[in-house]
Amino acid sequence: MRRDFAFRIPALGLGARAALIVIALTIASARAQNILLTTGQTIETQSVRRDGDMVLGKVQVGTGSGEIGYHLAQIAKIDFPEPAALRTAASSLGAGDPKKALADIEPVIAYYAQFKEVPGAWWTQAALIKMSALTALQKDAEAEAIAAEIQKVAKDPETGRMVQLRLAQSAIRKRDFDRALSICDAAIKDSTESTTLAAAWLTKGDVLSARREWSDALLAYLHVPVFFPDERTALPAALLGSARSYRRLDDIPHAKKTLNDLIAQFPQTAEAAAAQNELKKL
Amino acid sequence: MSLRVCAAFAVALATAGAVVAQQPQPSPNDAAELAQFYTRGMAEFQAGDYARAAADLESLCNRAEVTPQLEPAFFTVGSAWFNAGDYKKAITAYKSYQTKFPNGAHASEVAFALAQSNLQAKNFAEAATEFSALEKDPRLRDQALFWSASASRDAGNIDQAISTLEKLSTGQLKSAMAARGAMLLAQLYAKKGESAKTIALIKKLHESIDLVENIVELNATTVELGDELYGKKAFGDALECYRAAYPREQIIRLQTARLAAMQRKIDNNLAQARNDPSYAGSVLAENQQLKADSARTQSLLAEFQKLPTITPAIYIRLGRCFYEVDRKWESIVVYQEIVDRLGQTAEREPALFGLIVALADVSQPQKAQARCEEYLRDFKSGPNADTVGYLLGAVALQANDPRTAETYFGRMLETQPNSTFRDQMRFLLGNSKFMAGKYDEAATEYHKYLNDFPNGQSVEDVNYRLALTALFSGKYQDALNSLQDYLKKYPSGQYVSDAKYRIAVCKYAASLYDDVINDCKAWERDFSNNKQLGEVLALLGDALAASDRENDAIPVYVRSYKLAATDEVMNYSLFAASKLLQKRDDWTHVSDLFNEFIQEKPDHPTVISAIYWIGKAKAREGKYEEAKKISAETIKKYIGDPNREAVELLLTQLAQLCVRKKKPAEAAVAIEGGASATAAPAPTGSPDLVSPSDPGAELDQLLGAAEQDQSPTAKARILYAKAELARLRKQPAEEENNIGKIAEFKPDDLSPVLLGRAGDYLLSKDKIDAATAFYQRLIDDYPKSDNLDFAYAGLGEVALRKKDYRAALQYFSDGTDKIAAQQKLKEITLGKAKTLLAMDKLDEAKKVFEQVASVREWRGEATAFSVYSLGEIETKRNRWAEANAYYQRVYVGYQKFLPWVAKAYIRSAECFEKLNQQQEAANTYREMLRNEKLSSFAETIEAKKRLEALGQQG
Repeated sequence: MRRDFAFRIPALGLGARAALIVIALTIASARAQNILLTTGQTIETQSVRRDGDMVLGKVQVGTGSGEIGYHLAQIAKIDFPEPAALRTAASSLGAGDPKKALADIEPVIAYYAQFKEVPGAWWTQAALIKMSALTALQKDAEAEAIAAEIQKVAKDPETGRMVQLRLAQSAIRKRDFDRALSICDAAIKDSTESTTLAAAWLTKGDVLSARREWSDALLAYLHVPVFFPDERTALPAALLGSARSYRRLDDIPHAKKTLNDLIAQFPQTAEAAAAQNELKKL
Repeated sequence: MSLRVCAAFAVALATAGAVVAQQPQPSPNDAAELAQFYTRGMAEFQAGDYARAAADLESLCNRAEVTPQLEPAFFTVGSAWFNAGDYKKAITAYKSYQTKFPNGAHASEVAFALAQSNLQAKNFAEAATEFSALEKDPRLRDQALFWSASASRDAGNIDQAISTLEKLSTGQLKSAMAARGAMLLAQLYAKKGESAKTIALIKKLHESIDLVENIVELNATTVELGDELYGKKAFGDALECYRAAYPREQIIRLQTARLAAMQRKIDNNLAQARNDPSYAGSVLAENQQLKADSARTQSLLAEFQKLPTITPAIYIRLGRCFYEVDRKWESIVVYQEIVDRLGQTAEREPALFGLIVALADVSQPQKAQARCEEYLRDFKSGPNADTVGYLLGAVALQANDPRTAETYFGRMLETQPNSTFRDQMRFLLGNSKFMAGKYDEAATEYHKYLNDFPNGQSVEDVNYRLALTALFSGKYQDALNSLQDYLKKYPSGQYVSDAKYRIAVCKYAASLYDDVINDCKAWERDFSNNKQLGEVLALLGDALAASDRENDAIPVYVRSYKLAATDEVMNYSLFAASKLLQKRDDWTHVSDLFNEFIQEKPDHPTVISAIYWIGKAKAREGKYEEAKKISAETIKKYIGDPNREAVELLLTQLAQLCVRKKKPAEAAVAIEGGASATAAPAPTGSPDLVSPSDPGAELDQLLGAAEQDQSPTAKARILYAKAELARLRKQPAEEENNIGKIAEFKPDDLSPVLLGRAGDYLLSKDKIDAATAFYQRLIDDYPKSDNLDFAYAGLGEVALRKKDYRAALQYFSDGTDKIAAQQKLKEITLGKAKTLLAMDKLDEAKKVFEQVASVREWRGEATAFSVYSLGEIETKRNRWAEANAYYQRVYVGYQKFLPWVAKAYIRSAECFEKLNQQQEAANTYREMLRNEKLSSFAETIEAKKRLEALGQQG
């Protein structure tokens, strides 16, 4: 192992750094954050921080503690615990409260901004949620800005596809259906991940609904329950979309059945609340 | 099985050398010989020569003194016979062991091996009993239960097997053997028809997939169970199975992961053995087992990978099940996946056929037709080609597209000369032509049918339809003859009642009213319970009315509407009766007629129209306050329901009643009654009539309770009533103000009338996207509304403004052809003409503009614009004289419409210039400049400039 920095004892005590550590403890919980080096070695740390191209890990030394630094190129992954806010923000989004989701996710984004290109950091996941929240709040410019940032950081093509699919929602709002449709079709053609595929079919259903092509919209939505029944994030919206399409196709019995299924299977979602209202109209 | 015993032997062998070495020495020769037996037996066992090994070790056991040290040798004898496949001898050896060493170190292994030997020897009852006895040993419990159940199953004792396996599979699955047991139990449940239990177990297995060693087998079992359930028509349960089955890629991924896990376990065991040699024996034995399992699984996986993908096979089953459980759209999704994304598989043909059938079932004719074409292209001689050829036309017919059906049936009759559906196709080709109104051609087809298929299944239908072709093409005498021929030929035929009714229709066409009356009465006697009676009575009413027997006609119409099988007949007869009563000025009976209708059919959509007529009748009788009361009460009842389209009709009626001038006494009654407590003094009008004091206040008062209804629909309707009042009082600003407020509501909250009015308002303000939302809502949610015209006209105009001519033409054409617009027919026709002109389809545009210009009822600005546009068409063709004639018609004949007059002058002068008639051009400009009404138009300034350019002055 090539150490670029010698032990610096004591390394703590600086106000700004201390503040950062406090945030780290709340965002990343109190669990140790192990640094996995490209050599295969694991360094157990109490917390980590970024300093230029270096990541500094706080380690126990005797009864005290100190920081040990590694160049980014040496790090294979940092084993950050999953931030709880990621789930709460996702459920706020699911419950139709993008404002709360945004408030929940901002601290996570802020903390992980320093590690965003480090494997194991939760920045990309958090940024995707922020992007969805911004899209839901129709803040398209901000959503597109963060999308560009995610695409710069994310190396795997699936993340890129998910970002594009979220942007497709903005395109639908701007009635740029051709663009939205080409994003969906590209994801459907190239992706092998069921989450991406379910999102792509769901978004395609939304595009076709906006174009009032109800039968094609229905077929797109139904791909989710038929082929991706375990994708519970996409399912409520897909069921609601298919119920609406049934209604437009004058198939009221299937519309009712789908709405009732949605309410029974996903009672706490915003889609279930919408389903209740739509049932009354039927 | 043998591997398991081999593993046990490995443990025994590890200690055997030591055992022999520790035995008391009987004699040097004996000891040497016994050692020899032992060494030889061991070597033979290791070499896999189990029979010799068993014999030699048996010799050892027989000659040596039975001591505890010899216990492993006795155990090994049984193992050797077992591995040699001689289960009887194995049983004897194991029993011998149990007698000599009832508490020996290998007692439990022997008990297990004995049970296994009995199982192999098909001594199922003994095996089951012996395995059952081992259930209490926690180490052997799962295996014992599994094998015990296997023995019971093999003995034909299925219930016992199930009972045993249920013990193994209750609760969460915790071992690979429990998973294996669950799989066997699922198979047994399926055989017994216990679908729910089968599915539950399959689900449980999939939830504990990490315990399932052989995923390929689980998948195969799952699909087989599905097939079994499908065969029993338990489609829902079969669907559950197929949905639980994994596609090929997932199986390979899971099975590969399972193999990797096995290898990791082997590696971990080795590491453990190196660290602690005391584990070596048991760990190495486990590794042997793991390696064997791994080899078997690898071999299965390799075989599986060599097979064609199973995904299409699973998907086709899924598609069929979805179809059978009435989830046809889901079946379409699955079939499409097979056809479009899984390439050229054996399942493509049945999937494409299934797709066509499902698409036809969910009324998607265009998609179905495209897939039919695809089928006939790719599977010209496929097993379903005949059916698909037939479906191609049948689907078009189902979609009320007889012209397309005609094309398809004609093509299929030519290209599929041996089709089993020729009979039906020829018949349906005739029907297609019949539906398209080509009665002569239909008759020709029907004659061909009778010629080609004299014993065909549709001969009677064809004979009857031949008569109808004559009837519908107005050849009443021919029709009469044909219908009478039909009755002679088929006196008990399926169309006898209809034929007799049609004969009466023919006679009505010939004005033989008395005959019609007699025929209809006879018809009623013959078919008193026939559903067509309402229609026949309507004809009887018509005949009576046509022969000046209106008093007799009215009660017949009333009976007709009461017995009518369709709304069409019901409305016809109800309003025919009403018209006759109105003709007699018998408004009391008009009121009674509609009141009775409401009592008969209180929930019918026509009720609100009936109320309208009651109100009108009351007003005609001078009972204005009663009329208002009736209207207002009905409005209050339905005001919150946007689906009740006729509420707006009542609101207009109420506004009319409020705005009408009253006789002084009447006004006094109204004031006394508090109808206008805040009313301003009435302006004097004529000596007999006074203007209403404050119609607005009266309307508010009448709708008082309705105004308390806080639903957005009610609020919007109140605004509509006020707008109508303003319109009747000629207050356009107030009217527009109220309609503008309605346009601020969400489209979801508005009725069809309000959607149309709000859309038009927004369009007039150039708020195109907002207008689109209202029109679209009208089309989507009220496809049968009488106000649908607004949506087609509006959306067409929107598309035209956006220069999306294709869409515009579609909307305008649908407006005339599809919905037969009435209220907006002028706008729609004009829109179509404008679109065609914009698309440079000059001939077509000219025809439509000429049509608009020729309709007397549309005379006005639409005519001026159309004539001007006809000039524009000629201008585009550089036919200046012809163009000029149109422009001149505009400024001479339609002077009221100044914008068109101004444009027409300019264009006319231009034509003169093009024709080199400069003086006529200058005269035209001067004539225009003399018209003071045109002074503010931009065209006037241009006329001045042009006149100057010609070197002349105005």
